[in-house]
Amino acid sequence: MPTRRAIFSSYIIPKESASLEEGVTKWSIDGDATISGTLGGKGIATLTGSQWGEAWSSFQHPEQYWEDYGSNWDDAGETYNNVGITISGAYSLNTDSDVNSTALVFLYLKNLGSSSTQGLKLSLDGSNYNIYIPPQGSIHLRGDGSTLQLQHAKVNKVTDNTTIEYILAK
Amino acid sequence: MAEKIVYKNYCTPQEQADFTTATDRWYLDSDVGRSLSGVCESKASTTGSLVTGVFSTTISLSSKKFIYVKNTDTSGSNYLLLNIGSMGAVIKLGPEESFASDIGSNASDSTSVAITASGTPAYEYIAGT
Repeated sequence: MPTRRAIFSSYIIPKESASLEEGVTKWSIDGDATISGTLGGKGIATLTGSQWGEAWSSFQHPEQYWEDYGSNWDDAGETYNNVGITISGAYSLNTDSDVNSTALVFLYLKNLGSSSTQGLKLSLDGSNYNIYIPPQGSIHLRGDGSTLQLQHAKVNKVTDNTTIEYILAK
Repeated sequence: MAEKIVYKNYCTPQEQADFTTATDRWYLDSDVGRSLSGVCESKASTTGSLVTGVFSTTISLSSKKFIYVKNTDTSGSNYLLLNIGSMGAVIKLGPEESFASDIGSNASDSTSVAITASGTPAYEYIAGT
């Protein structure tokens, strides 16, 4: 059985603007006394070696053998071509009802959309969408270990269809 | 006080190779094959100030468009829990871990955040509007 983990980090750049004489706006990292520079943090999530199915990630390693999917190749959805998953309505990141109640240990999710109308929203209770992921933005989080379950992670488009890539791990 | 926030979230999924005699090593996960990241500009137009402290009671923030929270403990088992828009206190932050994201249901919406904890971790946060 493999041993797995996810190293994750955030990097925040607060910026402030100033105008030159002829009205050109320039941006710089905020030098405010209470922030003074960039912010961020990092961590390591220990994941279960044997994940809940081929769809635990929306990727396929470029060196993965097709034969190694075994009888589970169809569980991988669109992932075999590495173009992301198309989101045109409410979509559950967990595609296996057998693990609905399994605790969510780690989630990484990126909105691959490029247009400003391709926003993505995320729910962590299965019904209320209170996290917004702009086009090209991503999110990572660790679950609390009990209340947040695989079945609760759902996404939906805000306006236009978009595509996503993700890791949903137990 | 900042007028714009650019934020990046990175993830490197890894899998350990179990060598018979050599030291075990970590490699990019064979189900993924690469490191992952996303970069974007927040919908929030101001950050407010950086708030720091040691947790003692629930921190309630209302009408926010962006949240960055970090558990600034460097070791130990104290952790923070985030409840965004009443979805439940389900996001856990151990020592040195942080969470950063736009919040709300669309590109202009705002919502609430409640920060609770197990133990008394130190923290820092900015909440954009």
